[in-house]
Amino acid sequence: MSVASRVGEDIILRRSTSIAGKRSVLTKFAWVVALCVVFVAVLAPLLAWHQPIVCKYQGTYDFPAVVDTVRQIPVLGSYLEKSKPFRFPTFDARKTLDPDSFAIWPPIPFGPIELMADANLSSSRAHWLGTDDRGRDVLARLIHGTRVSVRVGLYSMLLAGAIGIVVGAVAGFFGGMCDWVCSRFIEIVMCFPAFFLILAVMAWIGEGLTGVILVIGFTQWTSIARLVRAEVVRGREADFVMAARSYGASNTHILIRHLLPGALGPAVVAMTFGVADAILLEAGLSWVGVWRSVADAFVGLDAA
Amino acid sequence: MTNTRDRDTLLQIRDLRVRYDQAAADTLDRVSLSIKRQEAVALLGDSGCGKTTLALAMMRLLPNGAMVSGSIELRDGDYATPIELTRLAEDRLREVRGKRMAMLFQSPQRSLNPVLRIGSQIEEVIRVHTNVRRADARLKAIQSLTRVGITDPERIIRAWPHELSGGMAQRIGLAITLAGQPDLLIADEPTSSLDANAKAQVVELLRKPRRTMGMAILLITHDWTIARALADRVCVMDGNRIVEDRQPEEFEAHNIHPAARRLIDASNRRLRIAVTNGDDVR
Ligand SMILES: Nc1ncnc2c1ncn2[C@@H]1O[C@H](COP(=O)(O)OP(=O)(O)OP(=O)(O)O)[C@@H](O)[C@H]1O
Ligand SMILES: [Mg+2]
Repeated sequence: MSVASRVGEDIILRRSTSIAGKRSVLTKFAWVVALCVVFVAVLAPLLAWHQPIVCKYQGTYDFPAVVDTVRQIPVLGSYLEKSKPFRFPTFDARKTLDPDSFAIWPPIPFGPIELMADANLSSSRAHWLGTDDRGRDVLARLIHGTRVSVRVGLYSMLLAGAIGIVVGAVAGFFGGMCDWVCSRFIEIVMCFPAFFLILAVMAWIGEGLTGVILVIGFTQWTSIARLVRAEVVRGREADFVMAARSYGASNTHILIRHLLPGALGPAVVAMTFGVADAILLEAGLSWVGVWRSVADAFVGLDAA
Repeated sequence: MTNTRDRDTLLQIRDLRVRYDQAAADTLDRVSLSIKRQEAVALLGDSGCGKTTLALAMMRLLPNGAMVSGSIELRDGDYATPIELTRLAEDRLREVRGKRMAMLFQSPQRSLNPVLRIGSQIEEVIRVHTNVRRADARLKAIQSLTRVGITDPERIIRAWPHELSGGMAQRIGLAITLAGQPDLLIADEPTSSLDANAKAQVVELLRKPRRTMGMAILLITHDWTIARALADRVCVMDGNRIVEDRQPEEFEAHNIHPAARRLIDASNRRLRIAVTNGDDVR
């Protein structure tokens, strides 16, 4: 070992530890923000809803907001339908509930599509962020909008990540013709403007969240694929890959155990940026009015 | 030839030629070499003469563009007829690599994956070779580390490759190559980055599995003293060919190839420099 390379190694190590030190504070902060957003998204009806969390209705206790929260969660929801004390709220608490009976309301006791008496109110104690032009509570819409945004961001990037990692890994590992074909394919997909593609798809299959998620997922994987490909190409020639070959590891084993772990870091970073991009894209779409359905509320609509 | 029919022969290389993609000349030119069961053969040669290339050719790890001709036959009790390695299909090769022949690479640090802990890398090799459960693999990994003389295997198993010293990485490389209990171990310059003390330990570590597992060794080195200490036979390469193939004692004679003489003298000189504390490096 030459002195220079030792020193170089040392600097790299020390730098990476100091970055790690700084990063840990930043990462913690980022985690807290991300968890808050997910928390708000998952628990939206407990924070803002037109039904109470707990109330006494016709002699029995009901949990309308809780039921509406859990209903959204795939497995738990169907489980809930069969369980006794929770039943789907069949009443509108605002109209039919006796005002004097026991009820705990969410902190913002309005639903995202519930119409108030007054439109365009400025913020007050009742409506913290006021009401919009149709008289809906802005904060309630913001909270429920998070839900859609998180869903779009997460699902579309899971899809994009899956495609990007597979295409990138295959292109990088097998090289040659395979790499050429995959790389050209990536470049072609990169040319699609997702925004207009979504408009086209909407016109074709109709409006819906699934369409948006699919289009974003199927177009935004290219940067992930390129990063994974670069990492795999770099790793493919590494000594430890040859060492793994020398003890009889198969191609799949080498790709999955040795090359992908190194490539996953950059891929995950690209995916997190992708989540933000997807949310912005979706917000933009709702702002230009691709979303006509009043049933859904979006951050984009209110941010505008 | 009666020699090639010898029941004790483990590996027989005949007229091996290797030329790298776009290289002007052959890197190996008609190299022939045979290794007997449990024999330790040292391959001595200057830097760049093609020692690693020979080892990689034996493991079929040369880059795709390299042209190879000649034959490399591996004999084994399980196989009635010798296996011709130069033409073996990739999936059959995987049964040979690690289990019949294993290779310890020239740069131990770099042959470990930097993003995986030592423990998981050793377990992985064990799981490639034997069908054991994860928990058993961990136990076996600890045992294999103890066997190569690591005193605190529990700590090392959780370490990252960059936290190891060169000698430690070398031992872990050895543990990995021994995991498949190969018939032949190719050790590519296992001592070149180590100090005298660590060198002696590695030599001892290589001797042990020979005794216990009946393993043959091809030791690649440019250090005569190591070759002398370990080998039953010493081959010397010069340029792209093997020019000497004898017992180590026979190298005392004066009619040996000049390349062999040069290597031996170089080793002795290094020894002298070490003794005079590096005052006259020339
Ligand atoms: N992948 C490759 N492509 C082209 N040429 C190569 C390649 N690998 C090695 N060579 C050339 O082959 C020759 C032999 O290299 P090799 O690594 O086998 O030498 P060596 O005897 O192991 O040397 P050292 O003692 O320094 O390890 C060198 O001239 C080298 O430049
Ligand atoms: Mg070499």
